[in-house]
Amino acid sequence: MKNRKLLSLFAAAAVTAGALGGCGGGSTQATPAASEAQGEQKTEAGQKTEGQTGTSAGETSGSAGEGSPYEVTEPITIEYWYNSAVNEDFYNKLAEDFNSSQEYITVVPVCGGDYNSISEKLTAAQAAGTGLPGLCLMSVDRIAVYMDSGVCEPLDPYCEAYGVDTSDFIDAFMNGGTYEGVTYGFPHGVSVATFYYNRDELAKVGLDTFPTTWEEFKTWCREVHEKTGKTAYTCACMQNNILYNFSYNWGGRLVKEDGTTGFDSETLKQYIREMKEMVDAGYVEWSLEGVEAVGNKFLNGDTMCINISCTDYSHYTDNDFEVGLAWNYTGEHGISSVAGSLMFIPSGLDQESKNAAFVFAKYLSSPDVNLEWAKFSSYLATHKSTIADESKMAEIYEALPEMKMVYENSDNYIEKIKTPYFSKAMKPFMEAINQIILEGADFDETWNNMLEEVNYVLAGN
Amino acid sequence: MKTNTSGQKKRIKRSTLEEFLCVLPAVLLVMVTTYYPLAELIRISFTDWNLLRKDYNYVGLKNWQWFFENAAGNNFYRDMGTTLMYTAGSVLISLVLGMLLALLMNRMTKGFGAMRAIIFLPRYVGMSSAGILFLWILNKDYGIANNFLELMGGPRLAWVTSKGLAMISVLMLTGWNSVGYAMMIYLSAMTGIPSSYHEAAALDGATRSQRFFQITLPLLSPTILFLLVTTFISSMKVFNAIDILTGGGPYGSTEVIVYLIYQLGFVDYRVDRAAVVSLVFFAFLLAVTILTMRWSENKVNYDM
Repeated sequence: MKNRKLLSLFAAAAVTAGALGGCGGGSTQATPAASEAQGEQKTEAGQKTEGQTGTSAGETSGSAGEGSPYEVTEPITIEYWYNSAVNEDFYNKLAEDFNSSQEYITVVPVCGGDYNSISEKLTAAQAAGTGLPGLCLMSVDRIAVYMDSGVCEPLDPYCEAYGVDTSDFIDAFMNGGTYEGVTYGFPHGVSVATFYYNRDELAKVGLDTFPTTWEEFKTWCREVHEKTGKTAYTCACMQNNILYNFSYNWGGRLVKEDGTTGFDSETLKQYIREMKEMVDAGYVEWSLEGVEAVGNKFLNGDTMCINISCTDYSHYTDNDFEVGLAWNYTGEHGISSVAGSLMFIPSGLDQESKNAAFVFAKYLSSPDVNLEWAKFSSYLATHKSTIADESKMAEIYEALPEMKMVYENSDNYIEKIKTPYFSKAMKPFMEAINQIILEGADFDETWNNMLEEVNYVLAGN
Repeated sequence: MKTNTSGQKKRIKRSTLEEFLCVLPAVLLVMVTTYYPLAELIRISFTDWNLLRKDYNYVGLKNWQWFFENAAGNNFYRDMGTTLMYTAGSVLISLVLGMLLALLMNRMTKGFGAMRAIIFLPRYVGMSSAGILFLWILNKDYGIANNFLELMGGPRLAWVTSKGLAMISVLMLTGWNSVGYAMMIYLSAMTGIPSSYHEAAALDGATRSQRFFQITLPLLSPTILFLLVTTFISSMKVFNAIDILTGGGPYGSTEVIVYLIYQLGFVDYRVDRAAVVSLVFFAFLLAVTILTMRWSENKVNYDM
């Protein structure tokens, strides 16, 4: 009897463990639409593309050439996983245009949620070996681990077969898609963080000229608070991109040449102390809330300035007040790190799907399509040829006037350190800085613990 | 006579086989969905698989060594403490608040029926939807919780972003979601207590509280045990509410063990280590469940 009871207890606990073993599985089912739709015949025969060589990255025409293993020879349907529902209409139209130009390929755009959700879905699909998308967007912060683990298909042979020249991509963007000399991804949703300020409200108190040095910024924050009675600047301090930029501009480095952390910087510590003083005085709000909440505060006029991705600008152009964008000069360097996403093809797909995905990737990353994307979304144009073409840039500035400032600072874009441990290593740093500023934690003790933790992570643990 | 015995034996054999075949699908289902994943979990804990690579190596006890040497550094103890703290709060809400609501709602009129339905209704709301709803309600600047507090002359609180309140916010969400279920379980048990017990006690002059503590509570003890064990296990596995409301923050103050397992597996891509933590957690839950059942053997009254 006792044994039976123990057995039933073990069974009950095993159910628990089974659930644990599959934790996170609830939302990680890969959409099977592509495999279901696979084999569907295209009824609408579009124009057949002609072979080209030496084209810029991703022009719509161009094929791998007859007999090439990278040529698409049969009708095929692939999914394209993107990251934000607000871009749904754009991608649907894009896929429609692309599909009508293709004889064999049909692309189905699927919103996979945010980058975390896409990552989870992709991880589950990769582990299961089924339900993979043809083309997938992946956050710049995460893609290194995917490239390192062989999840991404090397694109160099495809580029060669289709005559794609990747040197037209801006280097700082393209480098994110390469790993140990191999190309795995093309830049797509690339952004940098910038300051947004309430130009109308600040003009009323004569403070609508955004500061360009740290000392000016401190004075500006105090004056804004004193004259408007509102928070001068709200920092979304849970965004590792924002804190990475601050840390860099304040003299800290996540990783030094010897592989250990460079956050043990007295300059960095001094800047943090000064920021804390501004927070304590009420000029600055160091907010643990998400970007959306911080954005709402700005749009509601509760804070005069925020620091978020330039891609949000396209949603901020229709407000009660004029939004100004300003570069991040709040430190010694004035850089902003490249964030956003790259597109890649999962290596677990069959060759036909990979070939079709590459043709779509080529189209999606072509200068013309990318220009339309940049005008629509306020993500950055990714091609040198676009940046060099005044008429094309004028189109962007006409649609999104404040983006001019962002493009003018392109010399100040930097790549983040390419390590599979980026997010994991940034976490203790963010927690330490937030605890010091918000909770008044003992600076040296918190800082030393953080250094230990970051070094532990960087050592591969 | 001999033929009869042999026939009986055959019938018993046949009936046993039929019974076995009847339960076989269920057994197979449990084997496939529970014991196979458990066996896989054990196997993965001896590999260096990162969930993304197709190939992996068997690394012996390396992951177990990592766990026992670095458990503190990897926040296992902190997260275990947080999990137990959450579980204590959650069990308390279900058991005590559920009981109080059941006592209050134990009237068989239409009005009370409607109220019972309203209290039970959140059980049907998905945790993801409820979590987002609570994020809005508890928003520091625009949430109605703070608007109400302000109206009463109180301060605006950072419900989900302050160390002291984040866990309370999670408990408010999960409590709102689960207390109706506990109430319904109590109510169904209360209807099973013969009214003659209470009538006899009342005739003997027992007060309401005496009747509650001497009759209702002892006779509800199997139900309390059931709720204790099920709420304990489900609370120890809390994930959705934390993931949506606080993301384990601020500063890891609401990071529970399942969230740690998720972080290890899906964020750090160390599913090998996630397997080790899962197994240790499983062993802990198994031990606590066994101890609870043993302890309850003498405390629970199954007589009615």
